[in-house]
Amino acid sequence: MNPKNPSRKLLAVTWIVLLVMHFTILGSAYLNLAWFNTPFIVTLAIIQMILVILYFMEVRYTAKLTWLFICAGFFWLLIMLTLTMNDYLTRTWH
Amino acid sequence: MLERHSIVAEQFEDAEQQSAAAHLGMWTFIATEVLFFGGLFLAYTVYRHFYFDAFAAGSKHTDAVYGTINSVILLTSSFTMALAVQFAKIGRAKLIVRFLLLTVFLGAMFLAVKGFEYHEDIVKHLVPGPNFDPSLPLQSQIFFWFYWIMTGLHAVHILIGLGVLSAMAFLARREKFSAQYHSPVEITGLYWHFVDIVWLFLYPLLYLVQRHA
Amino acid sequence: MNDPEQNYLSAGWTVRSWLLTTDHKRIGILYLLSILVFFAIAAAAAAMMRLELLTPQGDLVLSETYNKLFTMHGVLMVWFFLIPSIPTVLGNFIIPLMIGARDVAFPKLNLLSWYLFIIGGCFALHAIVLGGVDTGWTFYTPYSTAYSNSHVLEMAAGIFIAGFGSILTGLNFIITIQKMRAPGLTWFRLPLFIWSMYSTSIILVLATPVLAITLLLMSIERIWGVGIFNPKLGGDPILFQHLFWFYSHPAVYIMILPGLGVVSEIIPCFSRKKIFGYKFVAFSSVAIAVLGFLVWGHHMFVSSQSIYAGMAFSILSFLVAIPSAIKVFNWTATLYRGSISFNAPMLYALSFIGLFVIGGLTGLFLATLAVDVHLHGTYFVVAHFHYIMVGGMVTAFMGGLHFWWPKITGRLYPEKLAQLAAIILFIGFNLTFFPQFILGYLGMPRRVHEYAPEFQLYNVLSTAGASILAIGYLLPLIYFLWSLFYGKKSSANPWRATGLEWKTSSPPPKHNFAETPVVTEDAYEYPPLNEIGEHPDA
Repeated sequence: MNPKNPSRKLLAVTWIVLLVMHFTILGSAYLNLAWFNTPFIVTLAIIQMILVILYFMEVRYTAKLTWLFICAGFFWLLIMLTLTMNDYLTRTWH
Repeated sequence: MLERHSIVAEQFEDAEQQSAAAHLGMWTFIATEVLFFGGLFLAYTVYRHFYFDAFAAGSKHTDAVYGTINSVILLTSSFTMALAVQFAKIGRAKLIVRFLLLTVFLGAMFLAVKGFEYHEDIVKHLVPGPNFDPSLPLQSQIFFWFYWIMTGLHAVHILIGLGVLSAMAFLARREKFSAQYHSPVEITGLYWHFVDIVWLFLYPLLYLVQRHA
Repeated sequence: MNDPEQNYLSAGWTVRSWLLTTDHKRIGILYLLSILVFFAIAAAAAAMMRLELLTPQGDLVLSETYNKLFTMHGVLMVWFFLIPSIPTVLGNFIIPLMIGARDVAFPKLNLLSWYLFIIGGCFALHAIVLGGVDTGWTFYTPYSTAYSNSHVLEMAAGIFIAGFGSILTGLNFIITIQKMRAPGLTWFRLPLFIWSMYSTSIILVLATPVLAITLLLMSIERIWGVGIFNPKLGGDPILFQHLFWFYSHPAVYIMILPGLGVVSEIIPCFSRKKIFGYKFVAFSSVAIAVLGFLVWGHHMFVSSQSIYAGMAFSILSFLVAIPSAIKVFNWTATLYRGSISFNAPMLYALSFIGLFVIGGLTGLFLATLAVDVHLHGTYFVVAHFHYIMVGGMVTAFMGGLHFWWPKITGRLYPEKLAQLAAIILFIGFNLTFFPQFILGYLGMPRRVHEYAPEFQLYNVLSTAGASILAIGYLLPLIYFLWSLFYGKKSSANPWRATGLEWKTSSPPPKHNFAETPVVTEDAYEYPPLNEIGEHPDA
């Protein structure tokens, strides 16, 4: 079955991966990728966040109820962002 | 061997219930913080949508060196925090203290770097208001309003975290934590990692709006 | 109150034992006393307003003063009376008892919540004493950030601090209900009050932080003189409204869901019948909590938000009415062929159903975008939300107080007087607020202290009703106090109700139960009625 904790080695690997991703994000900002710059950076940041959540915050090894609470928090944030931007993106004047 | 450490409060049936409640409680608190910062991110999104060029111009004036150094510091502090939690689970008091204090040190370094950075930002006239750098478009003031408030609020959370971490280090020194009782260290870790995650988003949104020419 | 049995009241008589208590029951009482103070002040503001509105001229107070009065009324009633009311008084007291627990999950955090409430309240009262706030409880920008000369910052600080307390209360309830239910108490055996309180707590926890950041941003803009809500820099004042209402609409569900839960407890007990459609009622509470977050733009139909956003919010607002309607249908089906007794709690519950239906239906009028264009900013809106908040929530609060009074105090209130008070309340309430629907329909704007002379008749009726309403609230205050000293002592279960809270003494011992109860049956297992609707043992 799953171990109950991340090993110290796994934590170190996570840390290294996060740093690598960080410099990737930084580097990509200096390249002209047109419209792709922003989604690329945001996606990588989200992946970094997921790694922190799964391994540093040990959610990989935690009860499903916790996952539900985390998803709920983000879902609500998404509601706020989506419905508000629904106003701003559909304003036909400025 | 366990009485000293496993203090089960009287409203709980057993240590497991207490620990589960503490964890879920901290996650619930983190959810509230997601919505708290979320309001700021929403406002930022709205104005970046309307004033992208002004945001890009403003972002070029942030100091990516300071920002990157701070990112590395904070990510490393999450690592040391995670290690502290692992040591708490096996009750190695000396190591818990060492890694908690290392985390505090890194957090304090973060604030110190931020302090230098803020000083330079003020000298460069990047504070919105009458003294704002006139070479930048008007709406860059909105960008920097977000810069100061988001990083400021984040810094307040770091400061609070430093206080809690120090308290945990103090308790660890007194050998309060063991394999049976270590949830305070774990939930402190959860808070600290959350603060790190906020920075993971602040950094690209503030420093990297458009760095290519 | 000088019986020799050990209960939570006799477990300590010092001020310290109250002010440093971590007993959820004592904290509930601390909240009860505190919110009554704020209610009284806010009610006094309302009295001044209704007196002013007796005549079309603005002749009692200056317009600036009137602005401060309705702001004070709104701020205190919303944040320092209604939002705490049922959750912090009845929720704190009853939830652990209802689930068979010894206390909430985090008793010290519970006490902290109360202190945050008090500190926030002190800031708010101080702001009032210094001269008040004139922005309305809605603090719209750029008036609040740039032009108002009133004590906005201090009031915002008070609300911010008290809000933090309510976040912690919601957090406490979620963890308590999630983790501390007695053995055998599965989710679908829980009393519906618990479902309501869990749903309310979701809103408390997820919405209030957005209020916090909104108040913070507003305050920073006011202090710094620079901000994102002022068009001078390219800011949008409507963004403030989006952020504000993202919280404040769910907040109004905080101000009705607990009431819906109380009614779901009272109706089965005084019909001697199991609730009809338990799962529908349970899930409708969760649905209200979730859907309530999707509709905030219906406060902004005429704000210049895009027409497409307005349409989306209008449709979503229709949807949110459905779970509320489901509850009303289920209560009605529960009452049908039940053995009804008209004790005071039941009179309040029945009042609730009628008044809540009126309030809810008029909400649909306002949710209809095209109609709202005409009704926005009129007394129609004022009447609508008072029907829900006063006719609904406060009535349910009164019903719950009466229902659980014997459990909380160990005393019975005087039944005949209580029934009279309930009827007086119903009459006074309708006389106060029904004319306001008509006023709004005829076009009288809200938040004004002078009005066109043709509106006077309805305003006079409304003020007359308010004086009767006041009696309806004063009477319980008097007889509840009286009952503490002279009321008949209550047994553990004077209503022969189901529920774990009735299985322990009235008042309960400090740790609630001598032994943790084990639950083996569903909620509301009232014995079946015979053909003529009587208990076999009645």
